[in-house]
Amino acid sequence: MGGRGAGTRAGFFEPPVAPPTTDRLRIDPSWSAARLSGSIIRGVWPWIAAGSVLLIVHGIAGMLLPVVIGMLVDKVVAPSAAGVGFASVTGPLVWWGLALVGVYLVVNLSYRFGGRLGWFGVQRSQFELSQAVLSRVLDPRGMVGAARAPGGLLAVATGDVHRACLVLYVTVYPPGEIVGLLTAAVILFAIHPWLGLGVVVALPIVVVLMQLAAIPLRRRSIREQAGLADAAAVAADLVAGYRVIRGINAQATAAGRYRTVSREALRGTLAAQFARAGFDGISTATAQLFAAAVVVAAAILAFTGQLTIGQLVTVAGVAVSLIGPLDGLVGTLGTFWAISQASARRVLDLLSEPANPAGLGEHTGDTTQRVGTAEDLLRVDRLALPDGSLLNTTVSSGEFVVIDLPQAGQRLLTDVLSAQAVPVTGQVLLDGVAVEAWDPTTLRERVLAVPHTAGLFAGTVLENARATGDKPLDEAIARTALRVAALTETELPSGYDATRVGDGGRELSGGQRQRIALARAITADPDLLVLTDPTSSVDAVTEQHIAAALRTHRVGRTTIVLTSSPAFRAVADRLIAPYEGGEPS
Amino acid sequence: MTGSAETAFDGPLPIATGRTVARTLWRMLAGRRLRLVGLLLLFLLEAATAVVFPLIVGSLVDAVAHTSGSVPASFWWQLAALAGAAIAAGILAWAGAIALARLAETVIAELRENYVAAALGLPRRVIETAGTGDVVTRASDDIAQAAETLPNALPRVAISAFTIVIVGVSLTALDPRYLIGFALTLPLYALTLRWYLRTAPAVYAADRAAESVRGQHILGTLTELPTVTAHRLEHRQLTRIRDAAWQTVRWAMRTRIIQNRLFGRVNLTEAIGLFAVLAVGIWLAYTDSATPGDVTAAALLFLRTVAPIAALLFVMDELQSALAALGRIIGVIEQPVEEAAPRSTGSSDGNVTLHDVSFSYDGSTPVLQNISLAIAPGESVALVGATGSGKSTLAALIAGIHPPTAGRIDRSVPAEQIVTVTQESHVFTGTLAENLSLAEPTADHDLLRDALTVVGANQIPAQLPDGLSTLVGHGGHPLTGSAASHLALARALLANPALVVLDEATADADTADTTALDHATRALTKGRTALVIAHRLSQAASCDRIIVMEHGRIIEQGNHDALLLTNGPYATLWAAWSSGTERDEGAV
Repeated sequence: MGGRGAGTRAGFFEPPVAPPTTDRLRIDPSWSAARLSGSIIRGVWPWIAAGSVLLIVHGIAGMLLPVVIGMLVDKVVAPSAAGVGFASVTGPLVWWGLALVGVYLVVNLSYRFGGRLGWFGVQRSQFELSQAVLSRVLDPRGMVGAARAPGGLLAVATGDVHRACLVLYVTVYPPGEIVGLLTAAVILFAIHPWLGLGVVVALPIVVVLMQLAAIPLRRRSIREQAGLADAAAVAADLVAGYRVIRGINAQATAAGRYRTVSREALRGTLAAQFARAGFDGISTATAQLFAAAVVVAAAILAFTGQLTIGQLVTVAGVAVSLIGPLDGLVGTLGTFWAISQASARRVLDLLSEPANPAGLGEHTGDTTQRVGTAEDLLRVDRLALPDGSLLNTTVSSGEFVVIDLPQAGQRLLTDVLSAQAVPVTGQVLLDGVAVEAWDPTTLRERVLAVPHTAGLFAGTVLENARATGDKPLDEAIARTALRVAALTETELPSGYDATRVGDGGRELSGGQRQRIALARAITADPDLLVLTDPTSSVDAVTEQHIAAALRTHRVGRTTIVLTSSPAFRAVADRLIAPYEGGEPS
Repeated sequence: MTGSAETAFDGPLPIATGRTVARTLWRMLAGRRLRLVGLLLLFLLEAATAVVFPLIVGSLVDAVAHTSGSVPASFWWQLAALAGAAIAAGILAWAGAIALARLAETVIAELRENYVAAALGLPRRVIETAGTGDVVTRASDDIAQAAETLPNALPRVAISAFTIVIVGVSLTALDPRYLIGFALTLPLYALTLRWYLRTAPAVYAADRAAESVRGQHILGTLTELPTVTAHRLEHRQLTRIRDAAWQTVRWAMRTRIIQNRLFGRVNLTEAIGLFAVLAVGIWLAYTDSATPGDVTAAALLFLRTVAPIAALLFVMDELQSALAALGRIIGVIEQPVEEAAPRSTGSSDGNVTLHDVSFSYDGSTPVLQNISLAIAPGESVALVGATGSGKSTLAALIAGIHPPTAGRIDRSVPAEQIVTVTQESHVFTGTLAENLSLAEPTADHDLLRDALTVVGANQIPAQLPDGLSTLVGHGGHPLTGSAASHLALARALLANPALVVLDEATADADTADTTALDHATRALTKGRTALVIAHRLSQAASCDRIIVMEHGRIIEQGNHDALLLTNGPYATLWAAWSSGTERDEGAV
């Protein structure tokens, strides 16, 4: 982390080390986008208010700068032309010199800290809104409908959340810009009423004209950028598949395809850049013409003796200083509001997704009563498998059973047993209660139906093996489980404790990942463990060791292995193979 | 690869020197150099329009001082100059941005295309020793860095350089002594820049790293949602993401603080410069060498340099990173592609002969020792052995990935007729059809479906929302490891090679489909020379010949039945493998 440790303070208003524990953001998924925006602003109002006050001060000070320069010209420089000696201007020189120092100081500090406070507001609300979105996605009750692509969910949780929070910019910068423009009008009015009035009348017209010119261009630019394929990401994806591509000698095809993607991205980029160039050209010309018009008007007044030359200099300075706030105002108000509303809508859509019907149960069972004596721990009653056949079976407490099903059937059974799908026909009962009637978390505490994909998370091998529920499970049990899963310490680069993997665990081989996932399931030690092809990436000899060790380890608990592997069949109490020997039983 | 490829090496991929970068870019600009000159001219004119306003205001001040009561004739010229400069500035900003986009974006597109082509063409042994990490990072981070920064930074560099020159010239025209005030700011800017380049990159890098950790945690959690749900890890993952997210908040604020300080220093330099120019102006005014108009013009001219210089300073750190990124991109592009083409003995019948071949990755530890082997055209050979016995290395040598350290390999198969499928099955971002047709670009959907059917995977498109047109890969619809293995087999089938090497190609596939997979492997190896490494012994059993390896040597070979009779290592393995199957036969 560079030269700065996490404990060093980098500057004022640096956030504390620990994340905040209080929630500031109130969200109701039924709200409109505008209402969510309002809530985002209210949630971080202290920072936003302080930030915009400082930026208002900045806006005023920025406009006073040309006034001070004009005064210096009038009181110090101009007398020289009249032949006055330098000694007689030292007084004004000191005073207006100090004023210039003061104005610079105010400009400097107000902008720095105003912007910083506003930025913290954006960060703070983004932090909370993103957590809210992820909490919804990770709700144990699940979401209705088919599984969503992770990329789409990620886009809402990060991109849309960020853009929804950009609404804060509308409250941070525009007040300072508006006050700055008003200050300019007051200064010009004080110099000559006609100049002030002229600016007050012309300014809104200029803003509206710039807005009108910007609308089609900006809309196009946003659209082009949204549709722009991320050429770098595609390149990385292709190169990551180097071995696959070279394995089938497809490097020319892949490079050719990338050229197509790259050219498409280029067209998109160029279209977006051209649109922006047009907008930049129009806004530059408009703003400078406006400044020129103000100077010309002031010059005419000066020629007729109604303005001093210092005042002319001030007017010229103010006219130039108008451009910044004007540009900012047009940009902020027009873009950020529209962008934030579209994203706030997408955030709300995700937050208001109904729960998965399989996760609505509330039965929590009687936790004090052990299941030991129950005759049928699990009863599968005419469960319709994806191919239309019906599965009927019972599993008693303490049994080690192998069920041989096709993949689609395996998935359906694990989904039903983990409260992620409701059987279309038939019933699955745990302790005589339909699985969908169980509270999903309670059900998953009793029944661990492990998905086939070995999902690992960032951390050490041991941490992964201990990961079930909110708190890490017992370390000794996890070590035993890793041995049951036949993953030896020597096989890992730095043993159980120090071999670290990233999310996905791609640093390890498929077989190693699979055995860690198996060890995690063994460590969890549920009443009913349901494994799906737990050793498909493990060699035949090791597979047999695992099957035998697992059988011994699970004595007294109930285990179902969904597999056709001979190793597990060999150790099972019972084989349920509805597809062997004709019709399913 | 077994063992060796799992170690992450720090890539020996080359980084181009500044001179090579410049030479390559100059070559890429061939035919566009005139446009480059035109572009620079546009920037120069744009910078020139910026000085019109201060000079005209200065002359207006003097005109006012010398006239009383009426508007002089010169005023109309001044008015025209102001209006003309404003309109010209708009037009030049527009034309400059368009010309720049055309030139810079096109060059960047070519750079990334050349990079991908060069990276995919790197010799395989380079990637086998370096790992894919470095080439992928260069593709993602470096290309993005260059693409985002260069088109933005180039005009800032050009315009601020031109502005400094033009303002310097204008100030000299007014009075060379104004340059004293102006010159005072340059070392201050240089100091600010030095401070910024020393401080900012580490903070920005930490900010990006924090952002990336957060992104990985979120994407990792969302990708493994089934595991999160089954193991009730919702709270744990949310806490983890929350902590990572708060780190991004902290680094985002530190980044902001650095930018605030940069603004503070630039602003201070501006104040000092303005004071100096005004002081010189007042001194000149009281020594009768300057009119009030001159002093005004000088002050306003000086203020004109502030915005472009600040804009330049703010991108200097990115510009520095972008140049380093260019070095890494061009390093790969300029890398000579010297693929050791497998020796072809004329005919193309799929015949491979190894004469006393030995191999070592590091020159000292032997991985293969004195292997002699003749594989007949159309023969399917299974390699069986424990981890580290050298089977994958032998397969890699036969496929021509590495040249042997000693001995000789004769192949009657051209390189493009050899297809290797490993356990590493990458699903490319794109549609399912695009993933398949990589092997055979001309294949239509029917042909792709046929290939899937042959390898027993026709259910894959059926289970996806949009069939063959479903988006898969990173961020797309997740595919199981099994589906990815099936895709790899289908791709190999579509490539229709003379020699196919299957190195644990079906390790990730489900045992539930054993029969289908064995069938798929047979379909793929039928009618061509095949080398099969599989822990599923049923696949080895169906090959024409089984070679058992240990410590880099062949310890036994023959067909399934012959090896069972010898009661050697293979027979032992087979007994272990088939015990479960026998019991199962009894159970039915």
